[in-house]
Amino acid sequence: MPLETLFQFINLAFIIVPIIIGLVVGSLVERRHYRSIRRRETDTMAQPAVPLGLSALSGVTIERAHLVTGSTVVAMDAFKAVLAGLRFLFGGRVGGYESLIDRARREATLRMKVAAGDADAILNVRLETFAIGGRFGGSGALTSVEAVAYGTAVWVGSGPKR
Amino acid sequence: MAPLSGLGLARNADLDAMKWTPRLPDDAVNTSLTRLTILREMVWLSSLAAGLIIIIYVGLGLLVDAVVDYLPDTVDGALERVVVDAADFGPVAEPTLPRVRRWQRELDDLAAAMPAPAPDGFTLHLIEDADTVNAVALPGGHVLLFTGLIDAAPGVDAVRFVLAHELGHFANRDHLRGLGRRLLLALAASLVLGSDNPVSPLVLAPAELLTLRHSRDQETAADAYAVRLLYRAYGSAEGAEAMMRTLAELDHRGTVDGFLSTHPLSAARAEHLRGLIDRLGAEPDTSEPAAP
Repeated sequence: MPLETLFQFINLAFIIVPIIIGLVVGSLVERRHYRSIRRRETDTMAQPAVPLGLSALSGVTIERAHLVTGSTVVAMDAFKAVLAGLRFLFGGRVGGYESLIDRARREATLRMKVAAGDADAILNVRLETFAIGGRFGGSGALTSVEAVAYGTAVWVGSGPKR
Repeated sequence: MAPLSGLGLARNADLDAMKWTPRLPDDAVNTSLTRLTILREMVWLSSLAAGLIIIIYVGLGLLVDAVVDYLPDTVDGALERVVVDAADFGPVAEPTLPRVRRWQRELDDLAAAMPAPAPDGFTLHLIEDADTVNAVALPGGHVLLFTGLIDAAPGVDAVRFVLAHELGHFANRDHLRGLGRRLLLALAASLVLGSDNPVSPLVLAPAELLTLRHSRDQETAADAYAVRLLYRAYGSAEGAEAMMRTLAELDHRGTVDGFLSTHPLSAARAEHLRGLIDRLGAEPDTSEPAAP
């Protein structure tokens, strides 16, 4: 085989292999992550985490309150990067990014609940998303997203307060 | 953690009874792609991109072909400054060496026989690379001759054919065409995908095949030109077939790298040349049937 052709194949392999790894391993990792997210969401379902403030509580005394945060960074894979690259050309929903951000936000919320421990509720919950890293393989596409969930964890007393 | 009975809207007495109920997030609301649809989307979008690139490439390619014959020679000179550096191909032999001067003279003799001689003449660069059986035509009238080709050639006639073949490329403006095509390919890909998209090489590799196919036609045309030029200069073109037979043999042994990948198969080419030589008269020494 001519050497030049060989180099072309190697060049091509450097692009195709990450895409295949991204597709196979990436979707495997994503499925596992979603399974874990669902399990923990079920486990912590009883603890309210709401975007409402103190107005959400009536007839209770608050014994203790402090800030709790949870954050995570989820990386995208090469397959999603290429798919997104094509989406930037034709427009439309960037489906590859949607699950990435969905995972990041739900994971961050779960971590915030871990940080809150046995708090009775988390109030004023806010969710924010940031892009981390600028370039994937020189594409200018997003590399990973950070999601931050934060709120006020409150512990209520037993005696009603008017 | 006790269930929070007090959670409700305190300011509105009517809503005081509204209770918070635990609920799991809906999986499907914020994600639109499943594993199957993500693959379908990939196939669909990449075919769209490939189609776009092909349309642009073919369209601009036709434009280049239409324009290239009317380009003034100054374009050649401008390209020379941009793209040519013989040293990129290997160590260049000192131009004052007798063997370089000798092949330069051969090249000048052939150039003088060209129907439309180039005013600036042609410069021969001897590349000291015994492993490469190749010759290259570059903008600005530069002919690169690899020592490997001289070693492999069955005689002076055969090397003359190669030189005439390269002159044929200049006469047909293939050196500009080739550069134009490759430039277009890169241009089309960057227009559609952005300059450094990771997808670009994926699309470029199959598209390169189009360039190869294109260059085979150019080689056949340059061969025909070379045979005619050899007749004009020496009254014989037997070296052409001898060179091709040698190349075909080398190809069989897998020793020819660069030359053949962009050229038609040498055996078929030798047959074709035989036909050309026969048709153009002179003494055919075998009775092989002429190619159409």
